[in-house]
Amino acid sequence: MKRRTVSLLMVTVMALMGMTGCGSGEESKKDTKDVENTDAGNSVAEETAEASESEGKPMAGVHLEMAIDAEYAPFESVNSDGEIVGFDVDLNEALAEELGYTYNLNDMEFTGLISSISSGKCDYIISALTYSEERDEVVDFTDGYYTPVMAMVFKKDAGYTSMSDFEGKKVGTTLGSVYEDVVSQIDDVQLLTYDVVNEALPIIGTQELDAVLADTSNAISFCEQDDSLTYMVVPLSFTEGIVSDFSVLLPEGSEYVDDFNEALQTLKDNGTYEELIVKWFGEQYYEDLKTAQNE
Amino acid sequence: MRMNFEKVFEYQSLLVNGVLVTVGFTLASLFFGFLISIPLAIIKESKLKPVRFFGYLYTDIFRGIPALVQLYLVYFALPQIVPITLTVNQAAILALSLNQAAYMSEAIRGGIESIPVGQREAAKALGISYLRTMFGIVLPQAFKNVLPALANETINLLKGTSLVSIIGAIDLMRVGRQIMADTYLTAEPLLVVALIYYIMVKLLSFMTGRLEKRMRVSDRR
Repeated sequence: MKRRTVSLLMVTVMALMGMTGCGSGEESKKDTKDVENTDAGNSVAEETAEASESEGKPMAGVHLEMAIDAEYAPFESVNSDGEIVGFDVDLNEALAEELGYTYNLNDMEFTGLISSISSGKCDYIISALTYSEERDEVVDFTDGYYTPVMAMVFKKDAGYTSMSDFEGKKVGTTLGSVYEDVVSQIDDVQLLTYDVVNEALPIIGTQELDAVLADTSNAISFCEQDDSLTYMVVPLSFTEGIVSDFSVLLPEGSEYVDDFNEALQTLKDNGTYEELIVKWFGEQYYEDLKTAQNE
Repeated sequence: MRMNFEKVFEYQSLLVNGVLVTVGFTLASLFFGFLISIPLAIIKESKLKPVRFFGYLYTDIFRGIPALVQLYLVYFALPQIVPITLTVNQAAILALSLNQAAYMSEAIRGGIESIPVGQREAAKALGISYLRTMFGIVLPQAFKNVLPALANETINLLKGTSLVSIIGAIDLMRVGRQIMADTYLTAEPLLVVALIYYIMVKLLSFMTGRLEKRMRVSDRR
């Protein structure tokens, strides 16, 4: 009897864990107008209300599974309430409102993002991804929605001032990202890669690591966290041809590319986009962008 | 050295969820691993050479490939080979169970061999079928002998579940990394996660210790 209870319990655990949808569903949220409101009874009512509201929009009635790697604040991260928040999440919400689709967020590992749509597990990715030739072979890209401004983070007393100062140094960045290619542009550089670049912060300035390449928005936060660090904006001329703007990724041959492009343009025109940039990156972003463009 | 543990504890509910997921993975993989390991152990004791060979081949493969590689194979490579898509949780439990079965079957096989062959011969002489001999006579005694080894495997399994964070399952380890990403803290979330794992292993070894003691009651003279 006792044994039966135990096995029943285990089967239940298994069933509960197995029943999640695309990717891992635990962190995913059903789309409702405001993400905070996930009350079961409410969301049903809201969804029907939304269905009539979104009528006439280009993607009304379409449900999409979105892939995201929520380990990259401020683009996407999990806050202390367990919600996925960030610039990409807000942008997606704005796009969904514009286009009328409903969505479900699927939090997964960075390395699994692209394969999640090439294997059909998910329908699109908004997760701070840039264009690359290799990626273009398996997915389609929308127009860019964010121009990444990169920065080298290092100890204040190291006193680097230009990209050539990093020749022959040890520079760390995110594994499997275009940042790797940027670091490789530096002559004689020793490239070190990390799953999450934050891991490397404590060892900057030791024999192991001289600097870290990251998005400027991250660099600012890193330097706030540890005041012995400082950053230098990487000139856009240095990353030209390697780094492109962040895009929404859709499966190869997707019918929604044009819809997304039009919606992105609308958001830029009506000011929603700038609002989101300032909300998540501050006015500093536009200043850093200017620095990067001028150098 | 500045430490900011307060910020980590704001993520309390996430950490609790992470612990539940880790415990869930451990229980599910222990259950399925155990389920597979018994027939596997019996197969290894079979008199038929091909059957025995399969049993050893299985163990050989699953012990010969790192668990992390197995996890990647199941989650990323399997959908390309066969037309099924597994969720992260399904892939994690499948990989961990298959892996766990290999180790547990070895322990159980050792247990079976620790029971004198004379008992099996006596059962045969009495006309008791092979399977009844195994499940009614040999395995119950074997289990008592292998309990410490199985407890050890379970502890390894609990710690091993941290690997599933790599494919994106939101277990304790991944929660730790999410906190790292959201707070830009490094040492604090990792230390908290390490402490929680340590406490879980302590609790587990305390419970298995109690179980072993109870099983030994009949050994007293």
